[in-house]
Amino acid sequence: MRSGLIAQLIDFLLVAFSLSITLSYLVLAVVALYAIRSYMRRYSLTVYSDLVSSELAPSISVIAPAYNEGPTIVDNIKSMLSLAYNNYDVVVVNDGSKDDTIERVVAAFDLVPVPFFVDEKLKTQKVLSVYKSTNRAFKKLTFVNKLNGGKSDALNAGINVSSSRLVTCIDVDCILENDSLQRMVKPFMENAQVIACGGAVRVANACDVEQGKLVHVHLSEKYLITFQVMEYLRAFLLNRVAWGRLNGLLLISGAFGMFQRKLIIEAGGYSTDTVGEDMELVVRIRRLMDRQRRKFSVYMIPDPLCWTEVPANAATLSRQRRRWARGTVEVLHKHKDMLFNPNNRLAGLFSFPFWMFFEWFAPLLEVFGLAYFMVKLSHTPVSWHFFWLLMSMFYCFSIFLSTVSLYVEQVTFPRYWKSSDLVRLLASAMLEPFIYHPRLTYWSVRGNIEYLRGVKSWGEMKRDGFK
Amino acid sequence: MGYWIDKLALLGGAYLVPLALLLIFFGLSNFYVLLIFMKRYKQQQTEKVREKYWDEIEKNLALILIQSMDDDFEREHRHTLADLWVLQGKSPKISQFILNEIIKQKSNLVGEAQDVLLRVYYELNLKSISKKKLKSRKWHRVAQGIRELELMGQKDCFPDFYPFLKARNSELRKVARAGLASLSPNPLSFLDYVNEELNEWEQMAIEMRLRDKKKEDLPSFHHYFDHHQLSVAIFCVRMTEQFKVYEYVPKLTHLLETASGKLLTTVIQSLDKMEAYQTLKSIKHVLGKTSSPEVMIACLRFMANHGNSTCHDLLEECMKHPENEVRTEAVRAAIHLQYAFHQSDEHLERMFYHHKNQLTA
Repeated sequence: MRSGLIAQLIDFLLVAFSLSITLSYLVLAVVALYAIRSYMRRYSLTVYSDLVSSELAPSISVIAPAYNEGPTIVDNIKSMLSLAYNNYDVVVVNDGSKDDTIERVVAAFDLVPVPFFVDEKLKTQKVLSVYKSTNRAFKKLTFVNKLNGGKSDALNAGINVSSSRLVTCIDVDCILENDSLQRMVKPFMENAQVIACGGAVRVANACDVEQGKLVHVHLSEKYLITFQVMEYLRAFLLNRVAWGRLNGLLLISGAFGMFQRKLIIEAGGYSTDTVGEDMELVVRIRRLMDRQRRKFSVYMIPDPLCWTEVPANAATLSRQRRRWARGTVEVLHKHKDMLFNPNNRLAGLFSFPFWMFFEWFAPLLEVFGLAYFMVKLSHTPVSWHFFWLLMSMFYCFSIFLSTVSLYVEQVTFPRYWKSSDLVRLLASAMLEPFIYHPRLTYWSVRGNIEYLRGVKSWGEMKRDGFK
Repeated sequence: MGYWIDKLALLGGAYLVPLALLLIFFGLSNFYVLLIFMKRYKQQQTEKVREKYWDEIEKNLALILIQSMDDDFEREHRHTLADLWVLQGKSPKISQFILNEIIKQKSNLVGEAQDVLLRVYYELNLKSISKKKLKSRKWHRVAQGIRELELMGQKDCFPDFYPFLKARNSELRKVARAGLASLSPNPLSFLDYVNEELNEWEQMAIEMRLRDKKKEDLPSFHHYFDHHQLSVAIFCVRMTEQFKVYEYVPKLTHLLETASGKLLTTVIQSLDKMEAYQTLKSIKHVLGKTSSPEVMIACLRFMANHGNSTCHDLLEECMKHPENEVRTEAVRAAIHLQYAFHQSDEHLERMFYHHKNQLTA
């Protein structure tokens, strides 16, 4: 009798959870579509090129931490130095690389060590030296050499060195669009309450890159990469744009995000005890603003501003996803008192629970649901008609989300022009629930187990490099 | 009978919701796939039209520009213009293409060539396309019309923009303001109507439009130094500095006594950039009485650039300030003015050492 009741309760909870996750994503898709429509109308009237020569353009520091990036660093720095913006500088932080990163950069940009007073507003590992170029063409570049302390520590050192109003923290191996700073700075200039802004990150595998600049966009032949392309489109063009519109955004990608420098310092900088440092910083700044009862907004723009190389094989992807899962659970655990906390407004009442239940908990529940179904199968008869109907519904829903994100890509800033690319993306959307999603779930569960075991490492990220 | 009704209801209840959702999602997925390919098809069609007529439009416009150098201009011009008339008659889309091309070309040309393009613009009656847009009920169409008229420099049209200064849509208001700044003989007249914050983006847009004006056509910025919107006052102070309007320095000096907070900081920064060293006494007075770190930093920067031996005591005092940034700036100023002093603060000592080395290097 009692076991029957428990089974019924579990059934109910599983169905309620599935329906609520479906409904949430549906609402986010609608909000994203609305947000994109109004963004594109405003975009058509915007002249970004004014920022190239205006004296009123706010100062920006592009901060890029580098660890063992020897083979690609010179091209990447050149790419960063050629961005179209009037008032910016580039701070590259060598985080105790063991390869020839320093030698290459020093030689390529005529760098010399300079006496430089670093005001340690954020505690970091020791800064050994600061380099500037003797060549005026590279006067925007500052190269910081410090002891190894991890990505967050390097970013904090870069923030200490910079003196700009805004800072953009990027991964040194990312490729930025030439006008990325112009587009990113606009929300800050339009609204003084904007404290952070993120842009869409796109997949650069198989694209043509020359001297750190993206020349042609191609869709990779590998299905593992195509799945990730679809995943990035869904994440950046639907979820994040919608959360940005609702002012509930908790994550700005570490690959490319812009912040008010003063606020990062006020919040204590990047946390060095988590691998989800990008999300943790946004959450901490939000909480700081909420505590001080200051009005603010965290903005997201759908423009493709940054291109990144995603893992091309299952082993590297597994390492990346396990790390992301660990990062998520670390941040959620650290800020658990935000859950349903009305003091944190929309973030506390909706975004944080969304992350908690639908981003972190969903894969765990999925595995539990599968195990539960197997057990139930051996004890009670199952209505297969109903089962397949339900499965078909969720399958159609997942395809629906993918097609909407692809549609958004096409009406905003289309980069996949060939019809064959579109067909392949649609095909990957259809295959994804069977091939890609189960693996993501498995890696997510493993990430959670690693968290419980206290794993802290980043794991090696093998990259093929660009064409 | 009742048994079957119950059974059907049970089946319906359990199956109906997922079935309906399945159909909805299936339908919506197909709908969006269709939209994607329709959008693609539309783009391709537009591209085809563009490709088909683009060369011809470009060729004709180029021809007109070349002909303008000939003696036989009038006759040949009529002939080429007739070709454009024919093209224009084919579709309203083509008229828009021609207008876009003229706008694009105009931005790259000056002098006589620009006048010839303007003549084509009038003769093809392209102005009416933009003016028609001003009557649209869609705000973005109106905004597009204003922008086109602005880019074509249609100075007689600026009164048409006034109704949009109070439009409900904020984007439209901004475009109308920018249009007025560009075309009106009194480019900042719209500031009288501004009741909201003039954000930095808009300030930049107006600054760019003012840059195109001759010095004698620049507006009287000082009229807005006491505007009820702080952002407007700050903008006008910055523009005074930007365009180096030295005759307003006395007005700015007067603001040192009356302004506070962000406006005061901006005034000091502007005086610094305008190298108004004669205001040093007033700046010292401000530094002596203010408690705001931002204002103090601005004063110290001014002193670093334009100070003299009379600033010594004030600098020593600022070096004891609890705010780290104020102390840092005071040391920086002292080094710039080559003062010799002893520090007990280790932090400042280190900084002094570094800066001194940097200067000597």
